[in-house]
Amino acid sequence: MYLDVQYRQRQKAGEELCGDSIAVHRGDDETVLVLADGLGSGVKANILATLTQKIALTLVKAHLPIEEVVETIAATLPTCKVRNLAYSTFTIIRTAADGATELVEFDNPPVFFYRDGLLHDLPRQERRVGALTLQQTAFTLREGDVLVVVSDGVTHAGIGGREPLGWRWEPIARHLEVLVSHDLEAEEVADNLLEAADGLYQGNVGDDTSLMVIKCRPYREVTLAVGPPRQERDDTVMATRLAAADGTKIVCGGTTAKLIARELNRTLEVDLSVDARDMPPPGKIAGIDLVTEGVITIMHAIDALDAVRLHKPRVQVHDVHYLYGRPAKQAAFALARPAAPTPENPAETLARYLRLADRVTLLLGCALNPAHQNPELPMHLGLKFHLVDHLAQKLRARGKTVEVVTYD
Amino acid sequence: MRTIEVCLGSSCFLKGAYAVLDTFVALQRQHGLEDDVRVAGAFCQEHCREGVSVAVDGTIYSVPDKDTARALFTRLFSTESTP
Repeated sequence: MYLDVQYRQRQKAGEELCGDSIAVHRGDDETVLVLADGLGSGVKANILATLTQKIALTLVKAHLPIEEVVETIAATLPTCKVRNLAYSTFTIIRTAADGATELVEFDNPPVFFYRDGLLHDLPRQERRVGALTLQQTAFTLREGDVLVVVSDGVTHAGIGGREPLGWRWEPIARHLEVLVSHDLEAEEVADNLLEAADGLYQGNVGDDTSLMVIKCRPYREVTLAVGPPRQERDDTVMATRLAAADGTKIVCGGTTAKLIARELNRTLEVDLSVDARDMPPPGKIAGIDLVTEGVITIMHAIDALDAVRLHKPRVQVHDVHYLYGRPAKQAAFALARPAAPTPENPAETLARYLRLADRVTLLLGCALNPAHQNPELPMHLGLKFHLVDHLAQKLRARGKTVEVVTYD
Repeated sequence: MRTIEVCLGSSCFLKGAYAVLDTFVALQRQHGLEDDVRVAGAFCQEHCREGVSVAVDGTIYSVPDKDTARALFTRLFSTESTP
């Protein structure tokens, strides 16, 4: 089981810094998540929130009891001269590898918890540490569960404008239930939630707004072979590793595809049914999920990485009354399913697999194709290594684990 | 059945392999050879320097443009097209 964690933030209009701070820590046997919301806004709030988040993360990682974590935070925060308060609200989640989870909340909106697509209550226990009253709960996460943590910038969205009380917890919970019950990706839930909050603020964000969506789902692995090994004896090594890999298997490059097919004793066919004339066609090898040409397709895939559709519905809200939990005048929202009217080209398919992956293993063969060193070609195909490097960087920037295995 | 396989690998693609493929498909139809000649795409045939590589019944030819494609087709197939 894997925790897909996606967060989004907006600072209060006119501020340069967000007064909320988020930490995501993935250790070997635990994941620690913190969302802290500093008092006020701007630099001061940012300092309070960052301090809180760093202390919480460091001490929780060191397995200190929660009392000590909270006492340390309370003793460390500088006191605000205007308000005579040292204050940052926070939510801390620690999940062990088996799903056993501790949740500690201090004055943030209560965490939203969904199981089987439905909103569930978490049995919280009140606990006093010094002057602070905390809510604490322990439970076990399992596949399909979704947790959503927000700062009060989300629950207050629209306050003083359209709605005297802002968005409020209950309507948000119901809106999230629609998103979660349609099995959206964590990043899609996060984007939809932020979009709705933005809409309620009508372009004037009144408070620092942060949200974190955590979805428990199976770990997704992609193994991609690109380029033939320099030493022929490594052909077998590469093909065996690819064939034995868990998850999605991809081959990029015509020569690579040939050697993989040969080593695995399978046939390689060119698939001309995909009508994409701006890149070479894909191929087919039994047991391999995607076979494409190399450098040109990868170059296009890097370009497509940000925009590629994930083939899941997006919720479009037509009537803001729905968001506020009031009777809506028209169809309150619609699930716009990007039904792929234009078929995907091989680069888009490659980009989609990579976007959805948590871990990408690149099996990089280092043989050079002499024809690619030809200066007459419109682009320098000798840049295979740079291209793979660039791809790895872009994937790492998206929080994915990338391993490059070279055969030279 | 005879075969024409046009390389659509990286290098040949950049040298205009799709135009060559389209030319062969058009000639195949023009001569009514759909049942006698199979025109297909292929991955790298390892003659990248001489691309666009075209394998006719397993023999590799260098076909850099449409005109060369037409000439090659006429040389290898046109006698069969007139019964």
